[in-house]
Amino acid sequence: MDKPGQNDYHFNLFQPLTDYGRRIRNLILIMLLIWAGGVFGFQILLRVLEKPVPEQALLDFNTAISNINQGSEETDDKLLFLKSLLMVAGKNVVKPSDRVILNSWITLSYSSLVSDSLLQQTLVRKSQLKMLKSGLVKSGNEDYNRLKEEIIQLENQFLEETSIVTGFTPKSLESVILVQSLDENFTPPMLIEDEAIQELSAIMNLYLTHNRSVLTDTPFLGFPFHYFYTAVFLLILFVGLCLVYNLRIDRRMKIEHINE
Amino acid sequence: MNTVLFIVLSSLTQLEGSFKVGPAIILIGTLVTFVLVGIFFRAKDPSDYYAAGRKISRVGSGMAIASNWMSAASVLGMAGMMYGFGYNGLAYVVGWTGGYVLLLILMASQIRKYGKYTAPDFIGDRFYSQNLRIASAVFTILISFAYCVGQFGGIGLMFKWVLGLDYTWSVIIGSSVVLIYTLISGMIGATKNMQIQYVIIVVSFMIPTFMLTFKYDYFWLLPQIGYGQVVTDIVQGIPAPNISDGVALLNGYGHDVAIVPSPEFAMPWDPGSGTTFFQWMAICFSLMVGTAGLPHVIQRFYVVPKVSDARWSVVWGLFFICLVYWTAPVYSAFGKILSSHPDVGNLAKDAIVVYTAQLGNIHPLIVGLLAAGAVAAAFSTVSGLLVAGASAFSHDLYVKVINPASTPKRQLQVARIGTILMALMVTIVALMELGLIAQLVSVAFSMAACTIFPLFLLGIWWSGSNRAGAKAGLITGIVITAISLTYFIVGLSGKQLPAQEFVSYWLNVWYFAWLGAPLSILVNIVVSKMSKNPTPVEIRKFLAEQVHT
Repeated sequence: MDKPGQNDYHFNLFQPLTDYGRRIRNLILIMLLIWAGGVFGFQILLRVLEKPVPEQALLDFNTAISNINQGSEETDDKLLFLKSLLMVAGKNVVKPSDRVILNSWITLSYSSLVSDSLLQQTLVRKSQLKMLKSGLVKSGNEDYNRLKEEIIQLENQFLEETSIVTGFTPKSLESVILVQSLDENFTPPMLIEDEAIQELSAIMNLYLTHNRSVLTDTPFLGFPFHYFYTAVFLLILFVGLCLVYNLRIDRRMKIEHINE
Repeated sequence: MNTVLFIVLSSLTQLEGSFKVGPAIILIGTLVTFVLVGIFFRAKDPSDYYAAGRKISRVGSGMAIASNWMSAASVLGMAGMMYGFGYNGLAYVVGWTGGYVLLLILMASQIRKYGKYTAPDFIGDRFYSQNLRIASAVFTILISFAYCVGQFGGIGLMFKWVLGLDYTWSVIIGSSVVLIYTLISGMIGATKNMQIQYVIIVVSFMIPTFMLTFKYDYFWLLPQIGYGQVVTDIVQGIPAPNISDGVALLNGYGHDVAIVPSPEFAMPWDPGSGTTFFQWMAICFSLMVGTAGLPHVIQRFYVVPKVSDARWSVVWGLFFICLVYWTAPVYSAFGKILSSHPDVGNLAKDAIVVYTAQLGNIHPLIVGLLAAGAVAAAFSTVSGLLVAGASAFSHDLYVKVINPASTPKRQLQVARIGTILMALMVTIVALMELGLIAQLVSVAFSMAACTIFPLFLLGIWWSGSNRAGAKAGLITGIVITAISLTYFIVGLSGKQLPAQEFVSYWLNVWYFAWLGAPLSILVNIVVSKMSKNPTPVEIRKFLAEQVHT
């Protein structure tokens, strides 16, 4: 059986045939180690250090729902509950199926703050707004401006009305999301089942819990540190590794008097 | 006059639907330039067609590598992934750049030293097997094909946005133009074009980021750092607008509503984004290893005059690529905030770059230039892919297997027929809209990682890897690829195979190389060791004396 290093030309990365080859092997292995550690080592560290941290909105939600479950809720609890739902509804990562559930809860929550007649009036207005908006998409140039004007007026009116109930500032973040989220086809349920509450809790936990650690919470040049590391630094590292590798190879070739 | 100007400007700034005059002029002008350059530097013989006659400089080759690399997936898809999946989108940024380190230290100069024209050439020669040459040629075509599907999708999306046509016609027109110019130019024309395309891509991609950071009062001198504060603002949320005399003031983004705290945009593998730690690692690994196995990337090292040029062209290429990759997250971050108004809602992820510029009220002509840059990116990659696919078809299958006595003229004809066939089939698949651009492209990376990469890695670095091992390794890679693709296609049709959910997660079509590549390497090693027919001494000698000295 042939052995590496003899004139049978058997070799591999770990058993090069020449001194030059050994130096190149060492350089390659060091580069690979830095490369792998830099990329995967950091992500593993991120994973090891992370803890699930709830957003303030989830804490508010849990407080509110606990009071509501105990039957000791006050208007403030209802508003807190509504506001926490709106904080999730305002995220654009929410899946359509989860959004349907959220919208229904937001409308239910809003309905607990207003009289039936006012709720009906609100839902009719929502329906009108929706129709006008769908008309806007299909409209020609002439109708567009007129419809846009109508929508703005109706929306402002709508925001004012809901703000009186919720106490939110008109045009504030919460007000706009509320108006967007109200479900015009809402019918009040006879009974709220535990399963429905659990379903909502699961949605709230999903969107309001995040993996955080000292690496994510430390600011660096305006970034969360881990984001800077991955999006900016790693690319610098890659270019740097390539540059160093080439310079070392060129230097080695010069020392060894190797001409291409 | 003012009315006309108003109508023209209105048409320029709509998100969807209408013909946009300014962007259309820029796009058409750009395409005409590409075709003229293609004609001027057209291929005159097969050597020119396959490998640009080995006349390209280091920096020029670096630009061509970058342009060839930066596809619709880089310019459009990557920002879209970060916009839609937050931190997990960064796995694409890291994966598509980190692979170049592997490519440089493990392959670039060795491939050039080996002195072959194409990937199947190397594999067929190194493993002294006509069957392996044919198999790798077929896989080169399949990989180029899969890669092209995402690109044609991106071209369709931009043509749709600019011309106001539907997606089908946009894809058909875009693919026709890219096909025409690839046919008349070949690799040498394509290489010249790639250098021009690179400049267009970088300039068009960077200008809006300076404008966005300046406009919204972030550190604009270096938007690639300045957007850090935007990320933090997204995580913490931006307070609702101030109220003055009962009237809401617009916030800094021109909205009457700010953004809710959205840590899911930046926090790692956030549950809300539906992604996991495993997926981040698997995508990143698959893309990195796939990078070092992509035939059209490997093929670029054949076009440089010297071995050291092959090495240095990687450094230049990676640097040029990083200029764009440092910039892409800027779009996703601004896109996230600018689309936070509930009326704007979720935007198409693959077009978020253009939408962000529009929502930021960047001048319509600049947005048009950005769209032209995205098309240039897709064109540069597609031309390289079509040439790689055509080379595999004509050089590796036709000349080496079917008709070795063919004349150079006939070879060129076959290459062109191969290009046309491939473009036609890609167009048909692209019209099916199977996924996001970046995801579609990542299929090609996983395929390359499971099939071509192990053969190159072991072929270069282990003289003991022999024909039997190579065949067994390749079969393993093909089996893993086939399983993943089968489950994906069945899943698309709404049907279920046994363990559908399990396989769809662990061997997902976007990242199955995390398992396929190491397994293929392992099988190659084990079977090579067990085989009684070692690598012929003349090949070992060539590797030891020519490739590794």
